[in-house]
Amino acid sequence: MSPVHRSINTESKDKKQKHPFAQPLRYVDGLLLDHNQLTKRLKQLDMTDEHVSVTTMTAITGRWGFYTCQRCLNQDPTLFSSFPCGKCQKTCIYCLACLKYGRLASCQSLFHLRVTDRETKPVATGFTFTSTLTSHQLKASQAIIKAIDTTKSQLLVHAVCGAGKTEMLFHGIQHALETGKRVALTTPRQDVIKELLPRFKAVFTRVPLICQYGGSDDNRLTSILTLCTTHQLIRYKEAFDVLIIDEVDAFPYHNDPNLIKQSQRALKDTGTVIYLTATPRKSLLKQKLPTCFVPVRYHGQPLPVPQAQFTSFKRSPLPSNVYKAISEQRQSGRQLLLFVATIKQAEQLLPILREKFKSLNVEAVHATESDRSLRVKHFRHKAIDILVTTTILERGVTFPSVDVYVLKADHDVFDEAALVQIAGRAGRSKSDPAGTVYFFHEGYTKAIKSAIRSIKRMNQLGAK
Amino acid sequence: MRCLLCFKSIEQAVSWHTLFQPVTAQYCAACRPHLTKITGAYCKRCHRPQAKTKTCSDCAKRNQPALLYNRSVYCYDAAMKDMLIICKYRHHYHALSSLTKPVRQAFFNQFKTVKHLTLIPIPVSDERMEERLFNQATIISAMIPRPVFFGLKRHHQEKQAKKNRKQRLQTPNPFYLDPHLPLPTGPVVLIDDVYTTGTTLHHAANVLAEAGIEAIYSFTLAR
Repeated sequence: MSPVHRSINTESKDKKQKHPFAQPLRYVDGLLLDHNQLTKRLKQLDMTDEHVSVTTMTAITGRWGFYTCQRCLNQDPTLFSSFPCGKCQKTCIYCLACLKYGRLASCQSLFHLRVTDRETKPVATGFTFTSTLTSHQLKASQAIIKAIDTTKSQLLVHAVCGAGKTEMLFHGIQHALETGKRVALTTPRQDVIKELLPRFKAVFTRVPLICQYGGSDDNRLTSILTLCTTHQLIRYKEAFDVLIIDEVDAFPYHNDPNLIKQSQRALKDTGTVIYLTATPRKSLLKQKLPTCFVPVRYHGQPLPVPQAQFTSFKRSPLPSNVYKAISEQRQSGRQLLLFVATIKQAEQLLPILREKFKSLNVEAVHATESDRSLRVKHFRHKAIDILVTTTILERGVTFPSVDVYVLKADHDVFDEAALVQIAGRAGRSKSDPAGTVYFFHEGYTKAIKSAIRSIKRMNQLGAK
Repeated sequence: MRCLLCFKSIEQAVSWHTLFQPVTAQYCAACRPHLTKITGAYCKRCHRPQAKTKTCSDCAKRNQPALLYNRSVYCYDAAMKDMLIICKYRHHYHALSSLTKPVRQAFFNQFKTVKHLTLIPIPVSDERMEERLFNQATIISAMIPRPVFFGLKRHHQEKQAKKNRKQRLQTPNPFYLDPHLPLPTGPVVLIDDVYTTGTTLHHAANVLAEAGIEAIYSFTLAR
């Protein structure tokens, strides 16, 4: 079964007859493939079609120890390795940075699929987004539409946590799809993408939406609207008209130069990039991009200001004042998110919490947990009272009514951006816009200080 | 210096020792596989670890094998399997590089009585070479400083790993000798990555025995 066909098949069977093969074929444009993937693709493609062309290029370019991998754009000389090649009887080079996508050696080739003559036909999207935007959201939404209309433009949308960034995007994406532009929405985190998918499916009911992340089922499909993690952009070159990067400042995107280069390559020359974040890093601000600033949450209430409290964690993973704070918090009726720095700390804390709060349902999630999305779902349905988590839930997730406590807030993993994002988990719903945020720390670090200061400044700007 | 698996850099203390000795390939603490060496009792012919040192039931079934005996270094357990998967199917040439020293030591321990030997790595077919670009048996034979004979060739077949035991024992002999190369004189040691049912090694040994080589041994990384 061809992947191109399958994207339609999942919708319904009679649609398959209505859609000619050539229509979704347009979206294989810009795929970057190795030899194996190409032979699989060519079985499904009609190569007699003169619009389809394949460009061949050398996989690894450069010499004298200075190489560039054309797939992952890695240039670090220590991340290349040489081996005696059995095919060409020479010493060949292979890239270690993208070894997990299949080894690519210097004697192999990369293939770039192009479909020329892509007419820009309007696409029926089945757009169902009815809720009204606030004046701030409307302004941002219009700025996004304007950026999409101008070619070669960049836009930074700097909106506080809970400003409704996703809602601002819908009109812009709808506008792009209507004018036949191909859109990709990417983010560094898998959890965030999984969170966004149902919301997009509800709004764009008739678009064959695909969602790609490590280990997803859609990885071989192509479509006009793609949701994917930034790692998945490795398979595209000059493919998208509009590239939206959500949470640009998140790990691993902000400190992986290859990912940044790959995302630039995935965009067409005439394309538009839109960066979304609540906490832009200095390097991004230095670029002096056109910025759209939204300092108010969608419900208009100020952000909860975190309170820092000195606590010693030397004696126990659950010090007495944290215990007291949790016991008091139980009166408020909100759920509780407990952020910890390391997986080890989460594992130490969990049995103690279960011991002390026997009547409550306490669970923990971290990156090595296999059923973490299930537990997050339970927490959202209020089946779990206290959720202990590492920084994987620091951004992109919305729980209606929670209080947030950070244990060991002085730890290195909690930088300013992380702390602002964590504090932004509280008070996100209209019905309960308040929430308490505590930073329990063993030393008042610069990050804690500047996080609290920047939240206060946002509130001041929003009150004006 | 980077870890062979996760490619993160490994911090190394600089000393006179590290300055003058070439740095060998290695794993970081998190990735280091916990391989188990074969110690204690084993089958005299195929080196399978077992309770008593005697011929195992599988080897007893083979009558007059051309292969005299097999020797291995490690047990073929989960850690070893992972390592070979990374090398053979993820095509990471250097995945086994950290084993050079123990493999060399084990080889000289096991074959110290055999003089003037030649190594013959089990070949891969041209089709497999096209895909993999290297032969994992050649990696292992390159770890041992002894002359190597490359005259053994192989026809293309389905992967051994995809077959069950019965299918493996029934496969036809895929090996043949290159008639243009002079055969090595004296004993030979076949080199392979793993001895599972032994079919591959016995096939290769039969071809060599027919060509007139008398003493044929084998040496594999895992058993």
